[in-house]
Amino acid sequence: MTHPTTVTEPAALSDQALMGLVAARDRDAFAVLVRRHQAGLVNFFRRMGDHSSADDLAQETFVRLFRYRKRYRPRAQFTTFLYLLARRAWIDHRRAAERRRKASEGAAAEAELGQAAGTDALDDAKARVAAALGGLTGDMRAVVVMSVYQGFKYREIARILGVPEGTVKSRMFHALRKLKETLTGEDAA
Amino acid sequence: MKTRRETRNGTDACPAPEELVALAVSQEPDAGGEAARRHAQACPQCGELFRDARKTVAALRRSDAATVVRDLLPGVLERIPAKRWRASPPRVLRFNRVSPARRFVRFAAALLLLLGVALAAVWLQGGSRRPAAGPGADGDVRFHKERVPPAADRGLAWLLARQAPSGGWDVEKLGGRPEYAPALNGLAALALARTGGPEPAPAVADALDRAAAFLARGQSADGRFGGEFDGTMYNQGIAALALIEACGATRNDGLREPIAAALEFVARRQAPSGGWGYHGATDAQPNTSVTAWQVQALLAAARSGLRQDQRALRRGLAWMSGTVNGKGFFGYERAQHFPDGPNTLTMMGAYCLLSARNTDAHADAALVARVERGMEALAAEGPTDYYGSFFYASAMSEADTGAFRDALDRVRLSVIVRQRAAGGDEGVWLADDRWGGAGGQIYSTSMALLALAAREP
Repeated sequence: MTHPTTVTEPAALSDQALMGLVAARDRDAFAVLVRRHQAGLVNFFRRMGDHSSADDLAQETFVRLFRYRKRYRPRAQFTTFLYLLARRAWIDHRRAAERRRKASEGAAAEAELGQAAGTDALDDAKARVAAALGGLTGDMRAVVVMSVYQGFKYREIARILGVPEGTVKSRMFHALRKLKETLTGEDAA
Repeated sequence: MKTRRETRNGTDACPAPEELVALAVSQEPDAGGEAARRHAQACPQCGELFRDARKTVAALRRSDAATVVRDLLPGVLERIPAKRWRASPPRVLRFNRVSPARRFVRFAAALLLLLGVALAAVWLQGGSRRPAAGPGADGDVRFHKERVPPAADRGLAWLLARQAPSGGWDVEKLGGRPEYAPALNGLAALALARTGGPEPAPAVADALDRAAAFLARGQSADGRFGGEFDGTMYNQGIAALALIEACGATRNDGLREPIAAALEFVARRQAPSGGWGYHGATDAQPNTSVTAWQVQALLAAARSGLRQDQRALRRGLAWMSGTVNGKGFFGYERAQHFPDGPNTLTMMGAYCLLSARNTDAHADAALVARVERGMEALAAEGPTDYYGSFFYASAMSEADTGAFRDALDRVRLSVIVRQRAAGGDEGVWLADDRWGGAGGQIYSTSMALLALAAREP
């Protein structure tokens, strides 16, 4: 089966087609992908609690996208592949911060981790929601962020997290119950 | 996995709570989901669980941590050695399984295109006085006016293909929240009206006529669109605006009556301070976002002579003007109130103030000048979502000077590159921004089309 469109310019191509060009080291195609997905990625990391390092994490994800470009298979949703890389970048970032904290056992690294999860200049409502999300485990939070904010379907989240779809739904159930408890009497009421 | 609990009426099995919560959050409709949703309406226990989950999700979405995003491309490219990029265009699109003849045609087209882009880039680098920031500054992706019609055509075709015989769009199926159906159908109709232009093609005119009739059929006797909930006035303002523009484009005088009733409802729900807020209650705290849609509807009616009484419009604009600070930024509920930053709020307010300039309700020139300075200060940052893109583009298109021409180009480019331009969903803009969970693909695609439809300043 052929695609119904003809090649015109990178900006008019689908993500899959652009990845085909990126696999052939096409810089223009890569630029379009970065600009098409940078807002979603930065906001993903912010919603995961990494306000101050969201830009760096998004950049790291795009660098990894280029590095692992040949592993992408066009049968898969591009965003599933991209957010798989994003989640790994986030896990690596958190582990590195944790290692630094343990190695130094000092206040400086603690402050760094705290800053990474911090809530810069948020108003009250946002701060309450951020704190409530911060009370979830990383896995639960990822499910909430990807579903509620990023609009992923459950089967896509399951692929990104490498767990069954039922597990995603179960995590969502428990996460919302906990969030409701935290927010009751405030925004959830 | 299902929990076979019996409901009070003993005839229907309750779905597992995990399934019900998943459904309440989900943007993906399916047959089983519809059955469970109907069940939740009938079963008190499941209904409570369903509503609780929806409320919690709504609270999360109201306080999203999303922000304006700067362009990351220069920083990303710095981290990838230049030698890793191919010097010449690729020979084939690796993943496209196409015939050799088509491959050759595509390759030739791509080669010609890249050659053209390279020549244009050299020419533009020589004569351009563009600012250093924003798309196009590094020569990778440039905005060309000719990109707009194909993108708009693809989006329009996507909308037309998904219009139901009733004239409306299946909001839930496309990822939107059903309670916002009037607003979302209104946005789709508005996109048809503005993309189609003053003399729309017969297919677009017919679709617009049917969309308007669908909206009018859903209107209550008191002029309201949709149910009473916190989004009532979004439904009202957007649906009213869509009907007014549809009336202008299709010259369907049968719409005059529902338009008059819709605007009377808008006027009745105006707060004493002059603005409009959530819930459509006159004692609700007004905000710039809800107010802007009512003002736009009243403005459109005033311009087209569909409403003579302009008191509500004047009071609405006066309330909005009262939220402007010294820098020309509009606040959310009052001056200096920026829960999500001043960007989209300012563009919303500016759009209203600037488009009221030639009416009896115009603001004073000093305020307009201050607001334009505010726009200039925020123009470089760009919008963070489709909602913002529409208001950025609309405000800039209303400016008198050509000062925002480049900024408007950047907004349009940022919209175009996010369109799905091939495959089964060709033409759609995915609902991947902060409002996508409420509006789905009707919201994202309509807003993107509306941003592209903004005329040249």
